[in-house]
Amino acid sequence: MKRAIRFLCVFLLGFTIVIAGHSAFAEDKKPVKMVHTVPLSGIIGSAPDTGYGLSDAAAYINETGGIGGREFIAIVEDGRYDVPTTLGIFNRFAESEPKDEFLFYSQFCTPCLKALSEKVNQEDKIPVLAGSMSALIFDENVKNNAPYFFATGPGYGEQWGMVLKYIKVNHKKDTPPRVAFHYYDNSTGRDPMEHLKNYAKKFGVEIVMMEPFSPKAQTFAPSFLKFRKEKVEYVLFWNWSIKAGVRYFKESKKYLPDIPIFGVHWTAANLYFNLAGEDYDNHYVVSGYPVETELDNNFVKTVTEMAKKKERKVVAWSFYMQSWVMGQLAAESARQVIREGKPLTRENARNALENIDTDLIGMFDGMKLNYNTHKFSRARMLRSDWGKKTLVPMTPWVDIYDYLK
Amino acid sequence: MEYLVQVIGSGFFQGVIYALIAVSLVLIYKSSEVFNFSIGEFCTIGAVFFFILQSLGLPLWAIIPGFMLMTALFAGLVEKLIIERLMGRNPLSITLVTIGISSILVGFLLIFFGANPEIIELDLPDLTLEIAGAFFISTQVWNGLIAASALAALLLFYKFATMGILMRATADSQVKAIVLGINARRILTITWAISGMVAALGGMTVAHGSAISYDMGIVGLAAGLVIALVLALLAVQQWQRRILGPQRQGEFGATQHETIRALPGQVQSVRSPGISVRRGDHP
Repeated sequence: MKRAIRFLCVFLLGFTIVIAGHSAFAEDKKPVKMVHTVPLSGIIGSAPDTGYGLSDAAAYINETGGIGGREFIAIVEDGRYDVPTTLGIFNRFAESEPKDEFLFYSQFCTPCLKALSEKVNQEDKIPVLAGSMSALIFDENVKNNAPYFFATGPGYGEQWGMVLKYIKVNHKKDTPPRVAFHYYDNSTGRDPMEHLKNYAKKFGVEIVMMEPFSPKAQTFAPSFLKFRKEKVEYVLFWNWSIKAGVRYFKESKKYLPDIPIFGVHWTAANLYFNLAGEDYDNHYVVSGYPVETELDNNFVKTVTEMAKKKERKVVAWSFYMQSWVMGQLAAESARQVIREGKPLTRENARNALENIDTDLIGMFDGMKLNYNTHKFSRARMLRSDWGKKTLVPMTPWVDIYDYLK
Repeated sequence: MEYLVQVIGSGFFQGVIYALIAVSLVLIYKSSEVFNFSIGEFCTIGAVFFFILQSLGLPLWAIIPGFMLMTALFAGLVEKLIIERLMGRNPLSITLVTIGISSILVGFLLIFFGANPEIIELDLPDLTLEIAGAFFISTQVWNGLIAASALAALLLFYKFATMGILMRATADSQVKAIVLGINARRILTITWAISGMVAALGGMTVAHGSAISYDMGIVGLAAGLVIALVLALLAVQQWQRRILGPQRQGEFGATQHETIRALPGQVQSVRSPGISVRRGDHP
């Protein structure tokens, strides 16, 4: 009898060890999932490069060891740049996926990000890597108001601030520079206005007019006539629609040949050379990303090689690279959590993102990213050069907060 | 003053393009009472055909008739394969089918043309205008001129060409046209083809101003919706006429389909305001 009890105890102990060991092993092998809603159809059209970017980043992450041996899975969904669709997709995954696997969410839609704020930051508490760099969300209170939101670029407010500072520094006249803000007429278009006014005041730039435009406008001529009448010296073109951009560059070169047009992240794209031709020449833009032609940049080299390997026909490289960065930031923060010996949870991943120690595969020419403000600290001023058919840097990578002091 | 001239001028050059797209919608509506919701996609397909021919390196004189003909054939094919089979049904049902056609065409465009925008180039002389301080760039002027010329050509076609008159007769009353021996089915196919051709030209001018993309059909639909409003007003007028005056279809004292069965070949000629058709005047 004693022998039987001893045997049973040994058997139960062994069984428990096997089960516990298997569970721990299974925990280590759980994938890290990132849901990515991108515009593949809908009102702003299709941007497939946003999807390819994350898929290829996932392939690169897994080829380079995964996340502490765990597989990184990118789930790409069509959000249609539509709030109900995007919310529906997010809710579906939030309910169906285990919390210790679905660790990151990313997307490209400012109105959707605003709509998701309460659910993400108070209920689900999942780190979001956003394509949007909204000045209203990513303000100085973002760490309190939206602790799980991270922009994948400098804030729109800071980008426009950098534009104004650049104009002021390079302005040749004694009178203050006369600037017109020409914006896409919706909430995102109006988003950076307050920051713009504050920076204009700070740097001594005169905003002569704020002129809205309809994204469906077939001509911008009446607005251009107003600019000429008001003797505007610089135009700030705030737009993210490629079609509107093409029309704009084609017309502005004819109507405003002597007035430089400035933009930010969304008009910093070599694809405009193919669509607007010479009319895209001499457009100034602030961007937190390198250009696909800078093959001496290690990040650019890595992503272009992967795109070639995957036989992608990437057109919108800025979209592709931004999605890559979303995956890269997620993977780096998760690796950092594992390195610190902490369990890989949404909360720990968020904390790691805030204190991330990465140079994003050399994206900023060796400089590291400070992500403590939940947005990029690095940016450059670029200028489109028709002769070279690419955007060329006008400034080195700067710490945008130092630049705006 | 110069701002007013700029706004009016830009409105004219843009409006004439919308008018062209709207005409292609009206052609189908008048001939079959079907509101073609896929008109925007016909515009896009026309522009895509232009882009394809341009990519092949063809000269402009070959591209222009080529892309219009290709779109005409495509539109005629859609009519033959889908719309013709639905004739005799409630026009509202066919209208709903055109919404389906629109969605299918957007899908096909996305698959075969792709998501990225492309441009079309017209190597035309510079026609930049400067009037009273207002300024109109060459592209805008050319687009307006192309659209206006197409509208004028259509007007002449419907006024003087035999086919145009037959089409107007069919549009005025399919029943009368059929009993006069006009091949209304064939006329309907030709109407769709011409509508496609007109939409293609509209699409080309829209794309010339910016870029072609698979979803640019929204411009056509926007123009169409304006026309829908106009047609709704016309419908009110017709309703008033029915209440206050003689019924148009009541001349035969029956519905269209009953009339076709009851009165084949009994009417020799019909006169309507501006149209005079005799039996046998068909191609």
